[in-house]
Amino acid sequence: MAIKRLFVANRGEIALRVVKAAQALNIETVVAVSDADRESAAAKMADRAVVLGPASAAKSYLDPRLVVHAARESGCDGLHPGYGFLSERAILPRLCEDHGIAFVGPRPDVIEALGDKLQARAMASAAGVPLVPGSENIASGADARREGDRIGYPVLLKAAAGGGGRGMVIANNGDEAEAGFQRASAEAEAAFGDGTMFMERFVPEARHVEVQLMGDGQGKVLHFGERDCSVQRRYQKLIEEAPCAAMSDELRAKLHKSAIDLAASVNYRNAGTAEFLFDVQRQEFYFIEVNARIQVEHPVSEMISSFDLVQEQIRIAGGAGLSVGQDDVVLSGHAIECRINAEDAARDFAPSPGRITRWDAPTGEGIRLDSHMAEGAMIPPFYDSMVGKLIAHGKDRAEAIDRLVGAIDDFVIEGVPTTLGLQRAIATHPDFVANTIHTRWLEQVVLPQFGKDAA
Amino acid sequence: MTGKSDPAAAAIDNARAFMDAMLQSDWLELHIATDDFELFIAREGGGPNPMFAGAELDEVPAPAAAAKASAITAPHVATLVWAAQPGTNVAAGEALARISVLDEETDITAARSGRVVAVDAAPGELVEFGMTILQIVEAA
Repeated sequence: MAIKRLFVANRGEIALRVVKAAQALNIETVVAVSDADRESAAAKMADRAVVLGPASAAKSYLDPRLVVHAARESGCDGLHPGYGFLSERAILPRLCEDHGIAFVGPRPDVIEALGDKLQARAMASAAGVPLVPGSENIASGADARREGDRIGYPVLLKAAAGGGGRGMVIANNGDEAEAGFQRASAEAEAAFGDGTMFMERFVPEARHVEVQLMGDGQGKVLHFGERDCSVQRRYQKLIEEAPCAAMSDELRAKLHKSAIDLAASVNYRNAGTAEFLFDVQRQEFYFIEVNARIQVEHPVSEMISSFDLVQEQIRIAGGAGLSVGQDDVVLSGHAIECRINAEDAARDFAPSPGRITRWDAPTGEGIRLDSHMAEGAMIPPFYDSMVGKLIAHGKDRAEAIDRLVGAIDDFVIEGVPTTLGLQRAIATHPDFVANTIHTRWLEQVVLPQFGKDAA
Repeated sequence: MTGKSDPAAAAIDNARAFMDAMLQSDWLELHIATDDFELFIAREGGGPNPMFAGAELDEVPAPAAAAKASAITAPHVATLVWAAQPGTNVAAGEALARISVLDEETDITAARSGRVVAVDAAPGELVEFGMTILQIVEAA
């Protein structure tokens, strides 16, 4: 049954994005807000806003009972969780089910199973999806050498009882594996009372790739291509692009198939992303995890596929099934997104909430901006500091970069410091242009130099 | 639905959020000033309170004990089950209203004894955070 009134259980740009998608489908919208977001762009655009609680997220956006109560009592028959907040908490779809509200996302048991790393790995393995090559428990130096030889160096020795990096050793050959085992095992024995070790292949320069999926909940799953999100700071993505230009077509086809096999094996419903580590040198990929929600970086997949993934999500939740088949998903060109945060690069990227005093957004061919901000808008200090996502699409990667840099140069934001300067430094860096980057490139190569060149 | 947020409650919520932020950080001090709100929090080693800089700490006269009605507002979104009628006298700790979230009910109790002078929401109504449910005058 198609959704008639949708409750938007999120804030910021994604709340606005969902409201717009619903309105395009002629669906009424009710936006949940905290006391600090009464005047938000999504609240103004929606048919109604309901104030859940005070500014504190724990007492507003993160309280599933308040969210579902507000949805039910405002007459909503569907609920979109956005990303973050409650989007991957099984309690939310469970409460929705109990109260007759269609949840725009996967079934609660699927969210739970995929949220558990070990279960997710087991499911991936059962579906034939490659995992990082590794060992069972290792009890001796000789075992360590034998396993290292089998897996291929370099390898990472980890304490079975460990955590927080203690008892971890990188070994580049058999001798190092043997010596490393003795040292790390003794350290683990001392720290955890258990010297048992295991081993995984270590990929020093990996890329992060992920496949955009959409399932109908009956076993049919489509992919909308992959994204490359290797520009990261402290595991947070800063720039995302589609497709992954560093991957061969042959490997890409395998990647898509793996992601679909995994999602189809659990009759995955709605939007999801299968994340992988991509070992460029070996041209192999290994499963990391599944994100059971729409992701921040979904626009790059929309730009290369011309599909509106959020509208598709809402249709599926309303029982319409997938609107197209895999052959209808035609990918073209290249898209790059950069996340613009109100952060102060000079103070180690500390979030810098405040009021936007000037906001002059770029426009142009292939340029898209997903943002809830405008001149005079306030960035409250209680939540994340993202002010928007700037996306550029071109016929190829070079044109997409050109357009992105042009748009960054045209973008004027005053009142708060932003990461636009850093994004420009990344997008114009020779390594980024040559596409030779990896997940630690930003921290190892760019950041140590950033802000010092101009001085 | 014309309820307005109680500025005192909003200020307390803001202060709590800033305190949370302070506790999660390694900041020594935090000073926030807006048009109608100023807050200073410091740890051991933080600076002196800038609000006291140069100020003479005079005795503040006690506010006139006028019978001013105070609003009892919804602590979060909920459905109003019932509210005490105007004219009802309540003792401290007695229930003033009952609200429900997904059919689980909780009472809003009086912090001090007083008399209900107005009711601003109807049973069955969805009351949002900060909306006035009723008004009460403290007992003399």
